[in-house]
Amino acid sequence: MIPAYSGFLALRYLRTRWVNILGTLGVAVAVWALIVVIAVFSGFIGEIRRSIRIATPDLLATGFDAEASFEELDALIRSDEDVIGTAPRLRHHGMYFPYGRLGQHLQQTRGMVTSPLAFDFVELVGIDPERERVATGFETWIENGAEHGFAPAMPDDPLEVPLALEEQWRREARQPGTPGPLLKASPGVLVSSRRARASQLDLGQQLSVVTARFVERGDDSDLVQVRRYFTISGCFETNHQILDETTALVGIDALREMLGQHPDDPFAIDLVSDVAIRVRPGVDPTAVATRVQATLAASQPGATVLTWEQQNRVFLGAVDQERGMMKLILFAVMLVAAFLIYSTLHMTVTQKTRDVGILTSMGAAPPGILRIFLLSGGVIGVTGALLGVATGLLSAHYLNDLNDWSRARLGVELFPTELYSLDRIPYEIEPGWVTQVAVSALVITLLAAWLPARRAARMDPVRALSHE
Amino acid sequence: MTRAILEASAVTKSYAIGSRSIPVLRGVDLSIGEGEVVALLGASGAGKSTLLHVLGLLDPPSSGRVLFEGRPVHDLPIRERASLRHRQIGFVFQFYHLIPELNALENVKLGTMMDRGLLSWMKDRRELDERARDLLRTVGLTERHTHRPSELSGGERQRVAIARALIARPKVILADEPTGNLDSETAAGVLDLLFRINREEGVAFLMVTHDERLAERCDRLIRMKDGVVVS
Ligand SMILES: Nc1ncnc2c1ncn2[C@@H]1O[C@H](COP(=O)(O)OP(=O)(O)OP(=O)(O)O)[C@@H](O)[C@H]1O
Ligand SMILES: [Mg+2]
Repeated sequence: MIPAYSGFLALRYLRTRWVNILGTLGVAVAVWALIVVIAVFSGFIGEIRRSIRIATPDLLATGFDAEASFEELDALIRSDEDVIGTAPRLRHHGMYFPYGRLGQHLQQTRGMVTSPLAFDFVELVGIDPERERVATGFETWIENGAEHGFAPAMPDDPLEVPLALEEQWRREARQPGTPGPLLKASPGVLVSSRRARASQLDLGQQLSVVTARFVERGDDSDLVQVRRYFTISGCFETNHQILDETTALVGIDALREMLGQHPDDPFAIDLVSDVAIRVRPGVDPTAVATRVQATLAASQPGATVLTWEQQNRVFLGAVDQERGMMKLILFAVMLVAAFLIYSTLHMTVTQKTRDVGILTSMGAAPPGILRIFLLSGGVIGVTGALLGVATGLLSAHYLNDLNDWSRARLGVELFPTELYSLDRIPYEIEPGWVTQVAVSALVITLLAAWLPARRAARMDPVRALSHE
Repeated sequence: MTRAILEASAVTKSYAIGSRSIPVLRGVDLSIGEGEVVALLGASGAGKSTLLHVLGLLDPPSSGRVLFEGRPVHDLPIRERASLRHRQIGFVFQFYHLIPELNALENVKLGTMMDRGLLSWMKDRRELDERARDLLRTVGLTERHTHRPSELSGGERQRVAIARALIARPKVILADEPTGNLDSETAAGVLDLLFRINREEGVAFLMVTHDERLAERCDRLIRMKDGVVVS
């Protein structure tokens, strides 16, 4: 039982000491920050996860032998009844630079004709657009690209150079001084719209793509340069920054050909480095991954099948870590509030020393005295936490309006949405986190109050009575 | 003599100052009967206040026993001692010792909050409020119930303190120089009040005083010197 005087005096002591507002505000600010900042952070992480999810197949089988053939792998993978689509992928590193009349002009204006910096290094990913459509979010990537730049509306084959462009080239080819023959239709390449903007590349721009492969020379093998021409047939955008920055998509057959496996050659291998897998909706992908890996193990002992989260383990881990750090930093604000509460209550206890003696003479016992100051802390904690939760939820809810207002009125952007190519500030309020913050605010204030409260409870009443 | 309510037997008390132990009470025997008014006289530093604190269970004796209605009390658990102090013993101090944040009425009502939870107190608050007001009228404070102690005169403050000591209907009130801080006219009024309460309510008083004439009016007189009762 909490004696009536404990609660009564706790409230009275608080009411007559406005300095306690500071502690309350401190708690409120800490709770507010922990809710709003983490809500935005989580919203942002959610956004990142969503875009990564779109850029990543349900499952990715990888780690095959160099001689692995897609046809065989595909049969094995598809034998699982929960696999509803597969797409082959061939990854190989290379570099490209703009080519053709326009390209030369570009290089000249950039002053990099002979500069080693004239090249963009990329991961060339050979894909089969038809199968990607079934197996991954490929369609969305192209749509996003169209939104951001100049990719044509989804063509049947995004890697095919539109006819209109070819006709335009023919006209241009008749102009004097143009390298005509090169303008013959070359295979298409998709670059990210982000990259296109950065390198001033345009639709129809020809790229000279260079890579290398080993060629057998008798008993020995030799590294030879391979060079092909591609034409930018469109753009994609996954919002998965790393992927967008480093990838150029080409037809898988074109890349196989560069690596010495001409599709028309009857002895050629249908080279593949990964297989993107779509899993039946509603089925646990992890279970399918384990099964498929087991199926592959016999012929491909090195193969692994990764879920979308495993494929991005490092990156996702890093953003989660950042959020964790942020939480830790913001909890420091809470600690400051706790110190504030501690010192004001410590002061109050000193001022009220004689009251402790008086109360004891009236029949109060130490536990009741303790509760006066513990309850004071409790009231501060509860008020601060409620205030913080209320303002936190409200300001998260109206964050975008607030941002718009401050941009329009003050010219200051609280959160640069442009920077992250978002049109709204994302936020995500997790009830679990809000509860956790509120409860820990309360616990911390109670701990801060407990020390002065204990000091009061341990006072010698006779000495307390004669305290000036 | 009537039945004893508060007794001290061979009570000693010493304070440790550094490594030295300073004896303040050196074997005090006394007894206060039901409804008795006892004056406690003695020079400054004789140990009168210390004795009051020991008798009122605020301070444990170094040795010896304190008996309340024949029962040794300092061995009781702290909560029981607190509750005994609350229900049976009232304190009145020279410097009133009111809580400055509370008004007169609240200071008195505080005495009803000691052994009740907040809810049960809220349930009975009208009745308790009425009782506190009655008591304030009994001690002669008909108005100024909502004044803070700082807005009251010394006499008024002491009347509030007396009302507070009475609200739990104690059997004995320990008063440490209750008029020591008042002018003689006000002091006379407060003393009249104390004697009236003794007559009407039958509350026993142990009253520390330096006033020999007041001592004459009491039922009995105890003198202390250097920590012992001399007569
Ligand atoms: N907490 C303490 N620590 C050390 N010595 C103390 C303590 N309390 C009281 N004393 C000493 O005990 C002695 C008696 O003090 P006490 O207050 O009981 O005297 P008193 O008779 O009430 O005097 P007065 O008439 O001046 O009030 C004094 O010498 C005082 O210095
Ligand atoms: Mg004294």
